[in-house]
Amino acid sequence: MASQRLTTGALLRYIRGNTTEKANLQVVGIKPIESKTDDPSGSAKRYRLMLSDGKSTFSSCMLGTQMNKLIETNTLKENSIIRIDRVMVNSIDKQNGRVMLMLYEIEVVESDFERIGDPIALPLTDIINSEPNTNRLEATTNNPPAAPAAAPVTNVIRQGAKALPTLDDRKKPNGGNRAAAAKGTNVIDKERVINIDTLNPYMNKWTIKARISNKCPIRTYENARGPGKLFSCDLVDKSGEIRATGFNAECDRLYSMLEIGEVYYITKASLKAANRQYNTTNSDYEMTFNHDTIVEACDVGEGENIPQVQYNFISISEIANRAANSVCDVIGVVKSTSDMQTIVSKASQKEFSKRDILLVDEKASISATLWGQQAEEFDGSSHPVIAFKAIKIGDFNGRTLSVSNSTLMRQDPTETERTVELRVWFDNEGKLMDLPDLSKAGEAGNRPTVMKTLSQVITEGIGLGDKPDYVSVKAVITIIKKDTAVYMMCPEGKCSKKVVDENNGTYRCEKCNKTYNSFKWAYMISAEISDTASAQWITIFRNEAETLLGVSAEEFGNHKLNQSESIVDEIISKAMNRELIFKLRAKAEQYNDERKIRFTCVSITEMDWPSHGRRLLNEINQMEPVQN
Amino acid sequence: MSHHYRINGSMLQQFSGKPVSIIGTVSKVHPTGNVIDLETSDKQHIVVRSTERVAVDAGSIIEVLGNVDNRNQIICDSVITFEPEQTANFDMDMYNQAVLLFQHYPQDYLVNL
Repeated sequence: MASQRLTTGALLRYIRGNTTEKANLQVVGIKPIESKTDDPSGSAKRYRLMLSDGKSTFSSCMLGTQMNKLIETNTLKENSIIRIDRVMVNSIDKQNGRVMLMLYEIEVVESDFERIGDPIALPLTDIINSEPNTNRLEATTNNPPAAPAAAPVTNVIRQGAKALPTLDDRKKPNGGNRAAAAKGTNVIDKERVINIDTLNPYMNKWTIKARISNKCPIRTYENARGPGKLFSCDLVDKSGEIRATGFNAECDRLYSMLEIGEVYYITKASLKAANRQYNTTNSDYEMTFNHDTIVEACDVGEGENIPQVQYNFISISEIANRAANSVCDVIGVVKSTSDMQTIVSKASQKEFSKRDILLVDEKASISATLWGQQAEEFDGSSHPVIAFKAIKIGDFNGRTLSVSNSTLMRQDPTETERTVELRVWFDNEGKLMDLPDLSKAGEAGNRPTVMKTLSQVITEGIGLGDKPDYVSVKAVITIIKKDTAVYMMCPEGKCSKKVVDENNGTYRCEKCNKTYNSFKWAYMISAEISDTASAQWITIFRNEAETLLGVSAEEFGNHKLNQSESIVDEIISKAMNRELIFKLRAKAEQYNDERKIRFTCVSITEMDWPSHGRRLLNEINQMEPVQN
Repeated sequence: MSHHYRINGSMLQQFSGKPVSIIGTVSKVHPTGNVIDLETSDKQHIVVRSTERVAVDAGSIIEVLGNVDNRNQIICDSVITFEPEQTANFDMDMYNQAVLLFQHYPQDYLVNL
């Protein structure tokens, strides 16, 4: 369009708090900034824009990261004209003019354009003086009913329809009265309701309107500071979801008040980066209720457009890559249902009733366990679509799922299109398909094992339990005991016992109680493997040894007999100092009075660097970032 | 040999004057052979200048060691090329994430050995 006009004066109006206006502005500068924030993914860049309204420019405009791709695809560039659809003001230090405009939604109206006008930077004084009440008082956090005099709420300065955010008033002495939390509609600013997906730790004033989609029962814990209790819940609105936790006093105050399925206004809680291990919500942040937090129930009818639940489904095959004891959201069709079973817990001698269902999606299947009453009432005969939110992943025989206290199970959920997709797929082809089952490990070699370091293997007591543990390590062979790499084995098919060389051409096997004229060479390699953390002796037999050394036991044995040292050395050295993935079986064995763990190598595979890199990135993303 | 900071295209400005290592795909080799257009791991296009002719193929992945000049270009000291088998499985996006990690946690990724 030829005459694309910019909305003059819009920048100052935004800074003053009039954020409903949808102004047209021009981009006069783009600068990527290093994001040293709580961003756990570590890869979100932030762009800072300098915008012009034709008359003035303002350089502190932060682009919401979901729009980064506009810049990366060169749609949004210098001189582009954009329309601001959603913006908020963030006052870092209003009195010194340090404010930022947070651009949450924009539309690129013209990608390529010439510079319009000759705008000059907004003077600092305009920004500082952009509100009438220049000697604003220290803010009080809420409006206690017992407050002295009728001071209007001084933390909110109204200008036009919108209120300006204030300095962080969490630091101020809190005169708040907890009773005000339950009533006092004048405390929650319903005009400032924002979407959950725009919440971040830098916002000073926000209110969300959310439904409690899930609430976990109160848990007690003990840490260095003494005993404590907590509960957590998931808050959902149409933009997304976020996990919120209340500790101790907040737990007491809010746990009974928040009911699952109900919608509440919530304001003033702390935000920090999400701990991905326990949090399957797709929000980057999680919320902690603090003693300033105000919660107010929505009136009937006000919460109608808030969805019931937010799912972050992963495919069933992806569960193989997740660690045991973590949680996930998953959806699938019930292919089969077992009868009710009763098991007795070895630990507590208590009886539990359960039922297993086979859950399938287009690429894989997995076994999921329901417990108690939920199991008894479950009827899978119609092959319903079942969605689980925050179901626990177990590693029995591969991967299994188990419903826990905080799991939500929904039959044929309407909130997701996956339900219809799966229904159609199953009815047409899925019910006849034979899919890879994550809950059937088959041979030991197929078992997806967790990766650990060699020091974790020891400190976590892997192998100390009743049954053997399986673990994978990325390590290098540092020592091979070459003299004992092969042994003379009984030539009898199934017997693998070592035979005694009678030195007269015959070989005696004590187990078979026979003397033979021959023997077979067999591998039993004692090797030390090392990784960045520690070292460990392991034993490598048969096929794995052959894979490692590249020659059969027979060939190796012959070289040994012929005393071809140099050939043996060459074979050995090729196996050493190469990084490999060792899948180990760890089993505790009694040696006289000692209980030692013996490590046997189940398989050796070459490094697959790309998948190893992805695994590392995944683990890094799950760790809580260092707080600066 | 001085340490080279591993960077991507967007970081050029930050590392102006410093010795850097950039991995990317050759998008174009200028006829003179001294100038290469490189698409970096974060899909930026940068210019690499060399005093000698560089024998690389368009589409191949290379590592450039050099310095960032004040025009946001790389003056390269050396170019490392790879066999096709070596780069067949190379995940450029993951390399980019690694580069960003190095920047986020400089205390955890040693550069000076």
